[in-house]
Amino acid sequence: MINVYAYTYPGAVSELEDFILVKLGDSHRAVDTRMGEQGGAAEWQGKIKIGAWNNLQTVKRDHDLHKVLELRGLRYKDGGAGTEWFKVPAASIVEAHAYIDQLIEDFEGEKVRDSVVLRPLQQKALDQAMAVIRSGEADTSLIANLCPRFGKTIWALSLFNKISEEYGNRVMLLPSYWLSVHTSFVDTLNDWKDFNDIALIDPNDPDAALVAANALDNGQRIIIQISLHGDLAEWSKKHNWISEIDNDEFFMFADEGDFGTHTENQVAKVDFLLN
Amino acid sequence: MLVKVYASGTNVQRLAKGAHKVDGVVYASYSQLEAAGGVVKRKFFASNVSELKTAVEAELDEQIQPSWNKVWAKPDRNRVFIESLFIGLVGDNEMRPEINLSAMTEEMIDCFMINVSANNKEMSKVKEIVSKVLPQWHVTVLNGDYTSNKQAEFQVTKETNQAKIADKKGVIVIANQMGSRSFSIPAIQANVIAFDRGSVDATTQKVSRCLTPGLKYNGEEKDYGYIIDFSFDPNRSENIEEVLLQEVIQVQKSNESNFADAVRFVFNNVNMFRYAKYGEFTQVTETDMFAILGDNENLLRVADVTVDAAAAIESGVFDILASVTSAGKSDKKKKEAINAKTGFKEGGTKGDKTATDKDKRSIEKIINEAIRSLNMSATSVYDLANEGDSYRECIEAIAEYEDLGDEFEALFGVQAEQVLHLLDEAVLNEPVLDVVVQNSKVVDSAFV
Repeated sequence: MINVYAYTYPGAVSELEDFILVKLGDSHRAVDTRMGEQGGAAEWQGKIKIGAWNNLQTVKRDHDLHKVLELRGLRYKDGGAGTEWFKVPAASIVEAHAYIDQLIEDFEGEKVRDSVVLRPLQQKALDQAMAVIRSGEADTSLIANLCPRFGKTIWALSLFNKISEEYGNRVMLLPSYWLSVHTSFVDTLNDWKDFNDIALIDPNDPDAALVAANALDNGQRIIIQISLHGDLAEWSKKHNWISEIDNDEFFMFADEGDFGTHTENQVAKVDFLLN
Repeated sequence: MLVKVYASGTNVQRLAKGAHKVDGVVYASYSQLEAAGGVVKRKFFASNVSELKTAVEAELDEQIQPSWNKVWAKPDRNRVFIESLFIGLVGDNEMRPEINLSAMTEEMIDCFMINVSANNKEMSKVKEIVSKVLPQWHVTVLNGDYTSNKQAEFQVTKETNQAKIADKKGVIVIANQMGSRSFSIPAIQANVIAFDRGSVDATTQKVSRCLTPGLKYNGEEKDYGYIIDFSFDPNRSENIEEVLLQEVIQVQKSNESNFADAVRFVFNNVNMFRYAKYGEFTQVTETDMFAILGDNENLLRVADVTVDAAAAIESGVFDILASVTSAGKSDKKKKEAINAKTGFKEGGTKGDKTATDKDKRSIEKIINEAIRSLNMSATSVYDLANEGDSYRECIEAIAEYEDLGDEFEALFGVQAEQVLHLLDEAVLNEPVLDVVVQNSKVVDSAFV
């Protein structure tokens, strides 16, 4: 089995309009080790890692991917560039990642993601949280005072997995004031195999209630990311469909809770949803 | 099974306030992550800008106010000081080793975040000054005039890449509130604290920005994140001391250990250095830290955090604070300030009297003195209650008995129940007061 990696350089991002130059390679070893050994004239700029796809089953070598990109007319041939550079149609690193990700999914028949391995301290905190939940009542509240850089997002999602496994909860409610918290969850969901069955629901979507119901009917779990901003009456009307979900389905994770879920207005909104 | 988790790296009291009830608390501190390995390790530096201030004053023959708030409030007036500061930070002035980031950390620092207490307009002005004096550096500002919380990370990443292409020496990020949470840029190697005393929760979030793992500006892997506190008083470094103290408390609770063991644990994993003189920094030892944390006077200095006056009024605790007895206050002035509080909040309801700057200063003074006075109460509540392992437990015991409650009210001007309300509202620095109570018990037992 082979591991595939993709990286670029700041200069290679801005070199061409509508494209990002990407080096696509493979290794039997850890991709970070292999990437660390590489670099040419542009190395002074510092590499930007686009992504890594480990233990591929169908792709035997990077050449398989190179051939497809070549057929699409994307091989980059210019003075100093090696043979593994391609011009990927993308306006950002995120788009470049999505393009290569799709290419690999087309080969493998599914998204290729690693499984989560929690760090010992994360596992300890998860075990402690589960011990409290197991000893608690039907409505359990926990404070998680977890230091910056602890890896709260992946911890919270792993806790959701554990709670789902033991108690069957299918809905994770993610109230937050801080928008980048939401971004962090979107990224993490996309990065790991363990969360493949989770659909993200945007309450601003006019069909959010229907999308959520369909996902649950299809055996998926859902995450509802929600802002607690705004007038309570108007907000309650908009999110009434969430309040109709059975309380026993919910795992609520209020990230940056000292910032966004402590005022009277915010508490009232959470109470409305988890009536 | 309904499960609710309220999570954050900081401010447990406020989390608890949102939660209604708490069935359990899970703690994890950064020093525990450091002990396990695989994360960016921290090095703390307590330094000062007093020598820089003296040098600039001699050059200009005028006084620099010894306060970051005052420096940032008038960037044009303090232009020479600000220029000298940044020139010193990037190591372009050999006469200022105490502020030379690369020299003190013994590592080339080419991307750092300076955390200031300036408003948007002042930050723009600072950027203009620094960009002129350090044209080889890229200077970026994080605030609503330049970007948004959602875009900040992307924006700085993009500018860092552009700076590399433009062959800039490095990147300086000037920030206040924005970028203090959920903002992860691996290239940032150091957080420079250039603000006066603030909330430890906010400070902890801000100084964690240099801990994002990944590649530095020069493309090498980052091993250390540097947290540098620049005080105007060479003998003080409360921002760092308080961050570490809170962490000790976190470790104590997480490991269910005693305070001394928790101090040892933190100092086994964290390196802290203090500026001595002649360009030398000396390492702060575990013994030094015990001396700081075992001394109630030091702890009370740490606990005397300046509270957000507007927030105190909004949460309805101002009237309680105004009742706290503190010596040397004129009742007339206090009454005037209390009357002015309705106009304190900007954008108050129509017809509100607008508070003058003088009113605001009076209100802030009342709040800070009240908190100082209540913090002092931590040294005596155990003696009064004769029971309790924490400040809250002592106050609860006092509230339970009428005679004790009366004595407390006579001493501090407020009822014990009101102090419990202040604790619930997170107005007082409860974890630090707990340690003060513990220290008081140790002193008491020594005389038994």
